[in-house]
Amino acid sequence: MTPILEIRGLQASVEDMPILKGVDLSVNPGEVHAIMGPNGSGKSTLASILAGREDYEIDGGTVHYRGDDLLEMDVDERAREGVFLAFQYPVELPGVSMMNFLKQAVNSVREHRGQEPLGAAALLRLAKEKAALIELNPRLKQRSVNQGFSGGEKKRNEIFQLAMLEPAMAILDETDSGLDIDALRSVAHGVNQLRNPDRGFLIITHYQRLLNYIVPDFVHVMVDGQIVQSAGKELALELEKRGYDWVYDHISA
Amino acid sequence: MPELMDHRVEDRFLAVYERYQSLNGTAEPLSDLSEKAIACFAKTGFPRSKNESWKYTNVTPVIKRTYQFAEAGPASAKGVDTLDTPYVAVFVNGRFAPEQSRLDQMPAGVSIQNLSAAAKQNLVQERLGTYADYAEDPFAALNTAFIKDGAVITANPGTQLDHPVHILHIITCSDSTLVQPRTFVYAGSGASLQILQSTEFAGSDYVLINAVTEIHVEPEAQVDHLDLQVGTPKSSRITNLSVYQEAQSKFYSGVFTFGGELTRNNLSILPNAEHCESLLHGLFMAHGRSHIDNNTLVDHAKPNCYSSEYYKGILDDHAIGVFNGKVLVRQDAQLTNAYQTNRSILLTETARMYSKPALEIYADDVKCSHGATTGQLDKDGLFYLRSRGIPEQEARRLMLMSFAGDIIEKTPVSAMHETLYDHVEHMLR
Ligand SMILES: Nc1ncnc2c1ncn2[C@@H]1O[C@H](COP(=O)(O)OP(=O)(O)OP(=O)(O)O)[C@@H](O)[C@H]1O
Ligand SMILES: [Mg+2]
Repeated sequence: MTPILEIRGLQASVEDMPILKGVDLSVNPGEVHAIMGPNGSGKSTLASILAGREDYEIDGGTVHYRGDDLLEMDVDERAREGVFLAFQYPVELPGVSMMNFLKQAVNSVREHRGQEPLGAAALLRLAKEKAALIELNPRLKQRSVNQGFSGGEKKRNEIFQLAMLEPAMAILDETDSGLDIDALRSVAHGVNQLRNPDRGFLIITHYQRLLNYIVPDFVHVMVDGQIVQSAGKELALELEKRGYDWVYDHISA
Repeated sequence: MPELMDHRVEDRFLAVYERYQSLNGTAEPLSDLSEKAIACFAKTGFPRSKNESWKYTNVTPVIKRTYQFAEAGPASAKGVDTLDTPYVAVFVNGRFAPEQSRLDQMPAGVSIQNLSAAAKQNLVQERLGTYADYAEDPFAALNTAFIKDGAVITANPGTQLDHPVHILHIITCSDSTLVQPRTFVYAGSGASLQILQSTEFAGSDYVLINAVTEIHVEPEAQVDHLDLQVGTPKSSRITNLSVYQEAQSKFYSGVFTFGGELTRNNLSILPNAEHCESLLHGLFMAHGRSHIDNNTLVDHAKPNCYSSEYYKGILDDHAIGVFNGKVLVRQDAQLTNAYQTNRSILLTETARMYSKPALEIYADDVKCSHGATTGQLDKDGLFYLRSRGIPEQEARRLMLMSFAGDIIEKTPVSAMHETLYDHVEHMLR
């Protein structure tokens, strides 16, 4: 079986400052992987590089997406191929209406998959259905993208877009931060609905809490640009109990 | 030697004036005004770069060209695209074209006339030329010196016009030509009307348009004035729009400039009584070597007035944009609220924007703010759109459309929304 995502020895830097120092990670279809790790360890950097942000220098290693060289693809090409990043800090786009944005995004992806573009009515129907799935306030669809959205609304909007675009590889960067208990539950419920045997998830989080709802197959710990420990879902519980000091001790041991 | 050369340019215009007067001459009762204006022009001459308000805009190359003074040209511009309104006044090469105008359905109390006929009215005689500062501005002076045709719009107290008036200027000359449109608007107390001015270029050679518009807004009246200019690489345009507002009146100015060789839009608003509201909005987009200069003045002379200025620009290739916005709050103008913003996006390394918003405040109890930002298209926004599968070109277009759309959405002349979006879209191609 070809993994959806296969990262080997990935090294990356910004202005000669190394951030990722050899990351190895494989995600197979149907799997949910969680990445935890202290602030500044490189989790968002990894997510950004997978999505195609060009601020980083790739110093070594490879990334394959369904067997193809991901690093060779343009940002928008990756998205059309099925890579999706739910941002830690979603950008506000004043004046770009949600529906127009969704139409362009959904139809770009559909066209790439050889599907007919959706008309306004069909798109609205789809948006309604998906918004209900993650309990997104339907009024937000009438606004500019993320503009004036609350922190929680922005995060929900990311998962809403995930549901609309149906990617093969979904990367969630701290989607749980800033969500209240109810929002966390409904977003997690939405994500669980989107789990399927063909789709892979990479979930970056600081809290075990989220993983109670979205139960991962694997948990990885990233420290200083490397994955230093990988195990099953019980690792998250262990981390919650003992903190990262325990991991550091482990590494140095 | 450049000095000498510049002088000759003015002399050429003065000589044309002499010849013009000896041939047909400015008809009574406009001849006095015309003579005063040419005397002012002779004194001031064209602006030099030493002149602070012309620092970034060099008109010399445009002025130096030899122009025909437009006369009634072939008025056969058929199939012209006018706004969907029953009220259209057409001017071909600056001359009134009654056959192509639609003025027969004007409601009672509102009139549009050609200036040469309307000049006999007391109202026009008393007020024409008193708003445009021809003593100081050489272009206003030049326009006034050759004054003849023009649109005169008057609205009696309390009249409401249900559709905008479209003043359409069509340029058909095949030789390089100077066209000097003139517009005078008088809105009586409580009247409300919308005016669109636009130009169609059907000619092939260089054109210099030197337009003057004067607008008087009586108490509680409301005037919306939208200026749409879609230029060509051979068209240049200098405009002077002067507005005078009485108590509790409202005035909106929308200045939309797309392309053109050189554009200078002077806008000056004098809210000369309490509780006036003045909105100054502008959108300019340019590519190639286009140069667009917006120069505005709001002169707050009386208390309790509100003004809000918002100009946005998108500059591509080697285009140059200039924004000089001055808000003057005089000592008497307590409790003034005045806001001013200019935002510009440069799409290339070679495009330039010179932005100078300026507040000059002599009253102590006022709320004023100004700000200017010039930058590139927001990289994070672009990345966000692309990360959802939207191709780069389309993502850029989306962002620029919404940047410009901000100004379009705010225009009260809603009949123009679609047309304006079309022009933006066209410029982005
Ligand atoms: N574009 C950049 N320019 C400069 N430094 C950067 C850039 N991106 C990341 N870094 C640095 O790289 C390190 C890793 O950052 P990253 O955002 O990947 O951490 P993180 O693991 O996501 O942290 P957190 O848990 O706080 O979100 C940090 O020290 C950060 O300051
Ligand atoms: Mg992060």
